[in-house]
Amino acid sequence: MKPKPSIVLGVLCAGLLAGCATPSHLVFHQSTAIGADASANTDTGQVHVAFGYDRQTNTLIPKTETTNEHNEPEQEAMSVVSASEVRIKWLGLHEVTEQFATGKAARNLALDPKALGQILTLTVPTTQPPR
Amino acid sequence: MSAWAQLGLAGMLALLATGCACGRYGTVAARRTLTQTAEVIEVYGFGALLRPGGVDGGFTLGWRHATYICPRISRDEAAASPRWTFGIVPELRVEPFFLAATSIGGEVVKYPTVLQAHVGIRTDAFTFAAHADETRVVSFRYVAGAPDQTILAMNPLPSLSRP
Repeated sequence: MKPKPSIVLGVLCAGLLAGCATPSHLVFHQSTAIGADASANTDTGQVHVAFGYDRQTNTLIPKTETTNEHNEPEQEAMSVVSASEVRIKWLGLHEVTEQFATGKAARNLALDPKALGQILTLTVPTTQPPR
Repeated sequence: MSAWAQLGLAGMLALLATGCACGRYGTVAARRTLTQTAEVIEVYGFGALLRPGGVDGGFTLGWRHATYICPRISRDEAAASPRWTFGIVPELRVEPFFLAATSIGGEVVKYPTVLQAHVGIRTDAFTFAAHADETRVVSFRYVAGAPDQTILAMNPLPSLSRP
């Protein structure tokens, strides 16, 4: 028996939706594409199709289990403090500088603005842009 | 030379002669650099490149340059100048913290968070910063063309595990 196209499509959509979960890692992602490009995020299930030139910068922040003020479990985005600088030359990556803290370290840093400023100002370019 | 070694050599020559690479072997050149805090492996490949697993498993038809940066965990080797290998890619001992890949041609690839297919030119850069419940402080700096200046200060360091 030949399966109906609608059933095949339904199964495909279910497969994609099954992947709609919180990511397991904190991920910083940059991409540049020229040509025909199709991609699917395996954590969120989002599909992206592009022709020609496309450039993206994404950060995937996973959720963690916490409790609210009523001591009920809930999910919220993980704690992150980060500063990034990415330099692209033509199509290739030229330079990456990143400083970040996650989890308890991020929460502690957020309580100390001076320390936070010192961490984040470490992300400085090696050469100044022409004036 | 044992029969297995002869078979391996014949397989390697067949891959090179046909312009193919499978996994860590074939038409690839790799440069491995050890700094005080990081291990940088740059892989250049051309032809039909099949990667059966790992963080960037997939198939490329054309040219591909990938850079894998891992935190340096073991101190059993001194920091040294870059070392080239041809026909074989050094094995990653821990999950890469950073991955950048540029490909020209056609490619289907499965990264940990993205499944993608493209024809043309594509550059990706991933930083796999931390697990969802992980507390970590990281300072990272990488300049293409100067892998010996790479800094990857990470606290705490990950344990040894294969990707």
